[in-house]
Amino acid sequence: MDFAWTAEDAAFAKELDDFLKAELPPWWRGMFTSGERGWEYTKEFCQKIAKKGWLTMAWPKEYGGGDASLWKQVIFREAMARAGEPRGSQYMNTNWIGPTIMQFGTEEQKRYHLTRISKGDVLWCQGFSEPNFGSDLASLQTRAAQDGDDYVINGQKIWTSYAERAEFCFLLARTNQDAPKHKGISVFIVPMKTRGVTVRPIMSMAGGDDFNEVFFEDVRVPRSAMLGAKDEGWRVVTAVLNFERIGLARYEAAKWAVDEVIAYAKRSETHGRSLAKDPLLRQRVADVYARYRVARALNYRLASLMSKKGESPGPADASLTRIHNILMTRRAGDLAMEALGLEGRLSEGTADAPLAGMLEYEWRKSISATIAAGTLEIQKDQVATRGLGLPR
Amino acid sequence: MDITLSEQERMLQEQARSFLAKEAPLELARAMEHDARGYPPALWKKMAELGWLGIPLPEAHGGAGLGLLELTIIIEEMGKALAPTPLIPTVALGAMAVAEGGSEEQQRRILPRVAGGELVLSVAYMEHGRPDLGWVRDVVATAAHKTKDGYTVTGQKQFAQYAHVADMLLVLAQEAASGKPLWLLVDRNAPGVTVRHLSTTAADHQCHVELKNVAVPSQDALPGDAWTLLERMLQRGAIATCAAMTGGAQRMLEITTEYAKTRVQFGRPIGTFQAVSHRCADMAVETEGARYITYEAAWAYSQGRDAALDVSTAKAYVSDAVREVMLNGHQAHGAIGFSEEHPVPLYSRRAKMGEALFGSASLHRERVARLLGM
Repeated sequence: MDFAWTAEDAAFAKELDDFLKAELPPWWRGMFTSGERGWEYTKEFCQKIAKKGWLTMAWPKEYGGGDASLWKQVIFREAMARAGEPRGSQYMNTNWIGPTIMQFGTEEQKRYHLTRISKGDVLWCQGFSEPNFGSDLASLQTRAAQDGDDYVINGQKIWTSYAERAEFCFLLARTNQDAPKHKGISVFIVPMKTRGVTVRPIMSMAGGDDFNEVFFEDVRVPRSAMLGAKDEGWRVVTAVLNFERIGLARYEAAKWAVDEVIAYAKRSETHGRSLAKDPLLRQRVADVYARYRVARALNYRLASLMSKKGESPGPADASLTRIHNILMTRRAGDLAMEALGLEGRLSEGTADAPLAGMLEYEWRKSISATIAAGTLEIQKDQVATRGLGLPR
Repeated sequence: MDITLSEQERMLQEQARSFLAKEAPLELARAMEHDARGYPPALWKKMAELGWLGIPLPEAHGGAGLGLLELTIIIEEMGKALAPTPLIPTVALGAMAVAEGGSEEQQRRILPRVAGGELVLSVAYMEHGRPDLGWVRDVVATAAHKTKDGYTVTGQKQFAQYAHVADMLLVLAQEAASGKPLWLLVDRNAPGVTVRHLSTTAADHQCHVELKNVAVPSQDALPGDAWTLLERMLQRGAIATCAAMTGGAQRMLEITTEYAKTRVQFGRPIGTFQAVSHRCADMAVETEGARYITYEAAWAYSQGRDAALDVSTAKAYVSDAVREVMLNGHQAHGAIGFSEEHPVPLYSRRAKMGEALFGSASLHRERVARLLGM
């Protein structure tokens, strides 16, 4: 058992931190809070780090990667999380879309998409949830009917992040109406510019335009747009969800919040003494810190199991890790609001908002932690049935 | 970075599992709760033969020269089996303190006998009514008065585990003249030493130790810095307690999952109800978290790093998490889990003791806050 970074990994972490310090503009406040110029910046940023070989460094060389260890990627994700995710939505590309295409794609799909992703100049969205099917994802009804060499897609997706800006949609559609629900789904890579695709933004509680409805009306794509085998999309989804559930170093964002709360407490007063001396606040800060450390350890455990020869994570280990992470994220959000009190309710863009409203924003975002990429309850079902073997 | 068990660590874990499955059935733990000695000497002897008692002790003195991390792996398994032995006070607390702060002569005199299973140690540091001593630099009321060739010691100590059967006590006293704390090796059978066995939630053989003008020769004073030795001993105690609690939580998770699979109500196994299965999932998450945050603290200590923050982080989390595991286990079992004939109360009572041993969650959170600069 070894919890220490190698000298090489530690040097990389340092190089990364130095780079970010010099690189991030002073107005940068995180991927959703910096508005339109923020989005533009994320593209520029991705291309910059692509040139440095960092964007897809954990991928194999043949797909534009750097064959870097999983640990380097962990270090990289942590730095990104601390910096407010300057990759913007492209974290999805490298975390799960790329690896999924690597696993299931045709040579042509791999060549085209992996190259694009590794250059950092393409945005994707994920067409999973539907108005009537969220947690019960396998019952989805968007339909892709074969028509000669093409498929014609009809249906609606919802809660589709980044759809307005995306060039491609990673879409789940039903290709077999007669098979059991898990066995009739296929994955399509749909260019968002295809005729018949319409996007309607939905304002989310976190503000901004990160949510959308996407409508598919007689959207015609060639057979070559299918990823993986026909009707075997659920296998792809399972792989995706596992990549997705552990792909973000959320715990480092929580650590950032803890650090900011401590700094805020030290410069604030209550009842004639430093807020940092308040015993209840001290308890809550330490509680979130301890949970952050546990989250990090569980993530490292998963990464260890993934990178060690002869080991692999259990079927529900990603869900188990995620459960702790998202509950901790919620606590961190609540801690921030508790510590900052009424001033903490001043939102981003308001004068006098402590930390320019960043902690208030952290709280808004924390609410979605236990919902996105499979609700807390779905994760618990996974741990109970696949992990512990309880009957359904 | 690789936080899975190494080959050697895994072998140790497997050895502990198979040995304890055979040698330490739950009936033994149950029987030893009311046993006058509180542990079976035959089991202790076998543990010595396996080399467990010398794991973290120097090779020069009969040990294996490994670290607290390897001992932690054994203690986790002991916690799972509830194996009733004085392993923690003898090895994790006492012998390691002698190895860290004892003179060459003291090490030579004590450590090989500990490793050989011939010497049981108990640590009498806590003052009556001052349970946070050590974590905070509190008063050490037990006084050591200098004499011509040593000290006479007078005071009252509380929560000295297995002191009633220990051969030797490590006593924390204050040198009366200088006001400096001092560790003394005290023969448990020396005139003036009275040990009173305490009945506790976990029936884990805690004792009250009274010292009345006990004569201790100079060569039985540990030369090492007493506060440092205490702080490091408490860190080891907290890590060992976390490991034992994690083992207990793991077993509680296993028996609860098994019960949820087999207990039928309303015509179906209760594990099909999410109200029950989600409790099991919560237990799994908390147990795994407790395990790895404990390993991280044990690793930091074993590496010779400053482990203060890691240790307090671990104990703060584990105390709360394992409490939740135990409550969920109780709830899923219903009435049968309230029966003392069932394993549930054994684990639950042990964990409740562990919550408070070597500092509660709130004590450690306060330390974490301080160490984070608040």
